[in-house]
Amino acid sequence: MITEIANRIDLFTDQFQDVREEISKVIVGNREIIDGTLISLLAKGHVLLEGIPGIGKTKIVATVADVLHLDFSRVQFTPDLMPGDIVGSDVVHESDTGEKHLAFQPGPIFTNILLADEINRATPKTQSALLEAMQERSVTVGTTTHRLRPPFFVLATQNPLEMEGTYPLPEAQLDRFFYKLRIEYPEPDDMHEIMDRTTRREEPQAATVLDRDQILVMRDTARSVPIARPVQDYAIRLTLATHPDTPHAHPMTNRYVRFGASPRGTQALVIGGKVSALLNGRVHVSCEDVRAMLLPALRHRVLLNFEGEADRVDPDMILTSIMDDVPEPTQ
Amino acid sequence: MGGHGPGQQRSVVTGVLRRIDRRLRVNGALEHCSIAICGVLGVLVVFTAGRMLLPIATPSNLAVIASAAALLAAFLLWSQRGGSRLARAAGVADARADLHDELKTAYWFLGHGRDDSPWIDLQLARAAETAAGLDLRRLVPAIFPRRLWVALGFFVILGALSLVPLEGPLLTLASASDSTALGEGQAAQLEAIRDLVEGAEELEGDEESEALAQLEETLKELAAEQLTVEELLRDLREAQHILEEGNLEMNARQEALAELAQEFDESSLLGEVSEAMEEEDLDLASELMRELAENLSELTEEEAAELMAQLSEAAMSDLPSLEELLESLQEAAEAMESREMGDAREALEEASERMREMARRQEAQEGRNEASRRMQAMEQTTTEQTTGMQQLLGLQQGEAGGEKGAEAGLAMPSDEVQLSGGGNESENPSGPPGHATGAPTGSEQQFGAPTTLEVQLAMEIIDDPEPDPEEEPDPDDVFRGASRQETSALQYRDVRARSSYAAGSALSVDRVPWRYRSLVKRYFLALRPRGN
Repeated sequence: MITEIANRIDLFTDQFQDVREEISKVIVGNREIIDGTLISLLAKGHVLLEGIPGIGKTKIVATVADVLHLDFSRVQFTPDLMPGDIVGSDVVHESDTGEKHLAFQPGPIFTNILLADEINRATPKTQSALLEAMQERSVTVGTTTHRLRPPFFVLATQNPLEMEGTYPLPEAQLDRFFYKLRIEYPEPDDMHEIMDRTTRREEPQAATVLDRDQILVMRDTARSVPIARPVQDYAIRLTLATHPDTPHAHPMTNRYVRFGASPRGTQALVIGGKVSALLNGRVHVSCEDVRAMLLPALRHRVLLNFEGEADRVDPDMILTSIMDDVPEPTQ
Repeated sequence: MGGHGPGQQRSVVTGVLRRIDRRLRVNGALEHCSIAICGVLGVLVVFTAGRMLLPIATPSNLAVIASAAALLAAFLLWSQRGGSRLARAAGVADARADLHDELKTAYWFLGHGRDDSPWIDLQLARAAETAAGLDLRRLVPAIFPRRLWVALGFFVILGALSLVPLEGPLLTLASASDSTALGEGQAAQLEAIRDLVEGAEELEGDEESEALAQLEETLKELAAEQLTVEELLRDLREAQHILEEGNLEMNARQEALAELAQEFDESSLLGEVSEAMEEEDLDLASELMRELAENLSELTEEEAAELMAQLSEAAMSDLPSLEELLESLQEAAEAMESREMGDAREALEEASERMREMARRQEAQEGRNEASRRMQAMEQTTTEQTTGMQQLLGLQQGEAGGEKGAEAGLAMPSDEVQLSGGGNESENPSGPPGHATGAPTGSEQQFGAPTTLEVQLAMEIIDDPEPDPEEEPDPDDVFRGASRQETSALQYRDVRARSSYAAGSALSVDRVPWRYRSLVKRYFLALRPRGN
């Protein structure tokens, strides 16, 4: 049994490495973004990608879909997009005998990987259409609830600039994203590599290396990794430190934060830590794994107060301070 | 990987952790011992230096060492309570060997994990394998505490301090403050003074003078350590007074001799005698007088007549302090007048002897005066040392310490100590309100009665002024009042909510330039009610 588990861990690591390498054939750099996206997928989470236009957000999502051999849909969110445009609707069908009946026409959400491009451009009503799907993995139209076929993975992108005419995601929806990943502008060397790859006659293509069943097995493997209570306690203390006016609150939290991270944030820390442990060939979660997940897992769950907004405090700065000051478990 | 059973894995992990814990404990005990040794030696250095500098009573070195050893033993026992600390050992091993919490997790699973989980079994197996491969000597090396070097430094200082001789200026100061320590320095000085006085008394042939007896008594008491500073000062003053008693007689005699010298100055035969007397060299004057007596028979008639007239005139002087000398001169003049030169010669020789005796008395008094000066210097030195120690004690112990010092005989005489307190105030009740009266105390007595200032305070009732129409009203009253009167369309409770919304929306507009955002922030923070 132990040998079998060890083999599963090796297989997990190899498959993850294969996916990573295949994506890297198309995407230059952005190692953390690729790893974060894959960790979210394996942790049954969703990812919010944030970055300025033109730095490859959509390209990354499309490449991940190519490599994973999963159904892929893309929805370009606009202000006039309606919920029915995403989840689908009952439409009138006419049979060969001329009999008419209502039949459900699935929307683009019925897929494995959904790219919600520029999600903050749609109205809150449309954005909320994703809520049930992201959390419950099901869609209710009328009185009928339709299950989504696993794996269901939402990759949403948003542009931090051009805030005019946008609808910032409500806190409830932000909390449903497992990670919020920030794509930075590429380094000069990476820029050279991007130019070399994209200005040739033929652009590189990523091969499919992982299918649906393999992904489901990897998900099961990731969740099986045990975590000791002290490490879990460390993750909880990190989360509680983001809650202002509590005994665990960090000084910066009390000054700049309006609401701290929810238990979903702690879940993200722990599950992400488990995947991170497997990727490092370990069968236990360490505090280092938890710390590595802190920024992507909690940065969108820490809501700034007026003073924080006015001073343009970056939640990453608060979280880094928390990471520095919250001690590791000494048992 | 699976070579060990679960029981073996447990024993391997716990065994390694126990050994790490043991090494950690030893290092910890060494560290604590080094701290204790350092502290004890530091305290001993401070105490030793303190004893050399200040009149403080400190515990003996042995007591300090014994107390510290007892405390250290108790602390070590206390720190070892509760058995082994394997969790801490696991944490240390993880951190030092960069094991990513592997042993910490394994130890927790050993105590709390589910036995039927193959994942935990795998984790324990890997942890056991890792633990077995650890080099504990490198992981937790025996550490020689660097603090022991500091302790060595303290030890060297302590040794150096023990070599410092006890006699020194700071020690003198310390001993002067201690009544039982009086003796060595003072006794040496007193003995020198005693010898001086003894020599002076021998010159006059008086071996049992009062001053000498007083000094002998003081020296005996000093040797027996029965003398306080106060008593020593009193004895010195008394002896000094006795020694200076002869100064009056000596001064009168010197004045008379000067007057007699002027009488002799007109004589050709007594000119040299006169000069010697003016220079207060009575030995020389005596010798010259003796020579004159021996050559009396060789004088001519005119010279003998002149000498007789001069002696007769001098003998008629009114100089009581030279009564015996003048009598001799009178006898010589009378003998010369009756041509009995033998008697005249004897009378002059007697006068010479009187002069020699006066010279011895003068020399003896000068010796007494020298002894008196030394006593005064000694008295002044002792007083200064005592005053210095009183000030030092006052700084260290405050007023209570000063009283304690006075009881031990360290303080100044009680009549010189002026303590301010309520005693005078109670005897001299203060005057009516508005009068700056009261009994003059301390230094005020030197300047006479203080002046008084005729001031009388009076209570004045001030009417409640009319409300200032220009005074700003309380904002809360305005809001509540306006809401009650329904003159405001906005309820005061809603002001905050709208302000918050406006604040948030103002900042989320990109048109607000970055440099103006702080202004917007300050504006809305200023609007915010207190406490929010």
